[in-house]
Amino acid sequence: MRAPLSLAVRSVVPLLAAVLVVLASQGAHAHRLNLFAFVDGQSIQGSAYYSGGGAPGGAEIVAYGPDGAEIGHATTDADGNFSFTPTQPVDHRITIATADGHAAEFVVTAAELPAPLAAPAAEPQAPVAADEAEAGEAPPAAESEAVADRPTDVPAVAAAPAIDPAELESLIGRTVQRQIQPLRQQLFAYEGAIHMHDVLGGIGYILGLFGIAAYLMSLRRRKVAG
Amino acid sequence: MHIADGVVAVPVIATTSAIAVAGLGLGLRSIDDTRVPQVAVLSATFFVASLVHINLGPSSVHLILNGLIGVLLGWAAFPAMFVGLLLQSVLFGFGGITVLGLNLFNIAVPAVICGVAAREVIATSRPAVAAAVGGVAGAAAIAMTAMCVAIALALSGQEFLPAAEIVVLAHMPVMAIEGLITAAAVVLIKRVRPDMFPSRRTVAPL
Repeated sequence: MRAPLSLAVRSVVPLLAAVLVVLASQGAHAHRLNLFAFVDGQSIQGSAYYSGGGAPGGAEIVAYGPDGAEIGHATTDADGNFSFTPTQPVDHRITIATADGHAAEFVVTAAELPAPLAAPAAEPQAPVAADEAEAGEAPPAAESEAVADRPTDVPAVAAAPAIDPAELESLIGRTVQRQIQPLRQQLFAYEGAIHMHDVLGGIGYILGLFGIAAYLMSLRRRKVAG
Repeated sequence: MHIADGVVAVPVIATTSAIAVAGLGLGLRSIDDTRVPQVAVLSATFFVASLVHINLGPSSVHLILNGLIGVLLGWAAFPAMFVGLLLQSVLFGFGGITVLGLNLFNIAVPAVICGVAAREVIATSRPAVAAAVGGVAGAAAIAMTAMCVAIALALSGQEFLPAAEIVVLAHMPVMAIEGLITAAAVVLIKRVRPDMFPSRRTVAPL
């Protein structure tokens, strides 16, 4: 048992060590195809890239609806970027497949789509607005009394309806989405990256697994010998 | 080189997985308890080698080291690579669980072919010749794996020539580098531990 162990240690461990040194020096990279997309104005924009650097140019991007029908189509440029205009107010499952067997997908939900398309997704908001209107029905009487008491407030009350609540909501929605976009992208990149604890954990799994195998084999041999 | 889930047709996955399972069985039987540490260390090497990227041109490729592992392990390359591939797909998202058998086939079959073809020559010839044979085995294993990937994609409806062109061209630098690594490793191991290359004349075949 001793000779083969030293044999492995002396000849292969240096190789493993060299690989780890290279890794540590250049940072760990994955070889996974990542796809990210977001809504910008009226179009869906996105980019595809390999975690280790490089991008699939000229790859075909196809978007599918919930029913599996093709609802969008694009081709990546040399930097892996693409964009297309969504035409249907449904979740877009955006997929990419390169000629060399890599694939990835990303979902842009209906709620993220540009305002005119997102209308059906925004529908649940309508009843809320109606509720507010109903709830508001009682106060107007009281409010009008208050208004009557203080005529100076009238301009303020009159100005309020100038901002349509639905429009305001969509405006806020779009602004918030634009603000959190870089954050989402960063989070996505972090998820796709290879972390050193995964690498070391994997090596630990391998050594542990083969350690168990060696133990079981030694048990069997002892049984045979006994 | 790792094909992702959902790209390749089911019959291709089923066939290659069946062959991979057979190879795993043969590989496990070839490991006696004195070789377990060697298989473990090479499995770990395979696992991390995929993180070493070679950025040349537009695409990004990584080391595979299947020629070297085939030369050193023979049939035992199957279990060593199976463990490595499993952990790569679980921890890194390379390839996928459903295509584990396909990827094992694509990477381990060339390893075993090159390894079995080269081992006897490496074991019995002068260091210079052994290095040359090892280098060719290291490069040829990558070329064969690239062809396997292209064929698997072609059988799944993609056009063969564009796929083959992309995969093989992208792996030219990997072939060169792995040829050099394998040649260097063969020379080193022959000098330090010649018994790691069991010749049929000295040791029973696997």
